[in-house]
Amino acid sequence: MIPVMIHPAAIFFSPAHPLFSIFKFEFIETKPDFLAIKFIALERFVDRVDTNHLHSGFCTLILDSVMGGSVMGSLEKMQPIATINLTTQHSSRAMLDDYLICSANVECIEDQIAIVTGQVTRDENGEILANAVGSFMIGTRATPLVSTAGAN
Amino acid sequence: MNQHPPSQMQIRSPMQDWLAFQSDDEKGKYLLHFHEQHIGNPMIGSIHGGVTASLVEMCAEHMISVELEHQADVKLISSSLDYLRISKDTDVHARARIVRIGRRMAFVDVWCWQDDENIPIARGTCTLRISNQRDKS
Repeated sequence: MIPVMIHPAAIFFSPAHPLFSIFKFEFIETKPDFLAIKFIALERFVDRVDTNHLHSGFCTLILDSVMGGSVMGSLEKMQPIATINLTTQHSSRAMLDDYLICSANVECIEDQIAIVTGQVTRDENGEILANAVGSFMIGTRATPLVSTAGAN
Repeated sequence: MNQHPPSQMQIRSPMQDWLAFQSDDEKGKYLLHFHEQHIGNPMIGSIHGGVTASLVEMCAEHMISVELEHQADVKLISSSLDYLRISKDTDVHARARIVRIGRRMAFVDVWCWQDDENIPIARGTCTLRISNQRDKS
């Protein structure tokens, strides 16, 4: 298991990040090709104010982030990555204040492209809310992540 | 006169506020007003892929809801996004097109761009479930 404090995603998901700072991610399992994170369903992502259901985009947003984080953890050196594509199946909606778990697994890396699967489940009962598969380009023209680490 | 209460898509949601989502007067055209909270990579100021995906999903839902005159429940069941190029820290425009709308299902394509519609940053396809259709009369 990779210690959480040195997991590259822990740097990327830092409290200084304008988006990730609002999620308060809790790392619950980290392996070289696997990442699982716990978080809470926040009010700002509510879609239906009558039922307190969150918008599907909330799960998509988390999946893209955690799946990308799992790729970072699988690399021998820190490199920028970019999502190439992402397909998400939404089976159920998260509710406000739900505790959720998003896990992501790097299935393979070939020719600088990582194929990743991900899942969001409700922590309380393990109900699957969304499944996703995506591909990520490793090494982009973006500024290297080590610069991000230094800036923090 | 429509006697039905407004559907959820007619009531502005916290998610729409967070995305700074706005529909245009032109049918099928939408706008995400850029905010710092939409950034994915702060080093280059690119918009998070999940934010773009959320915009695509919201556009598709809104498009179908409008097409059905807000008289049905519309729920997204899947989305597929291709990220065509790196985005930047400016507004994102989107155009949704209904591929097919049936009694129970709908399929919508959405294209997103920033400066130029001919230079898209992402394209998405969405599948939506339609239920509880109400009489429009």
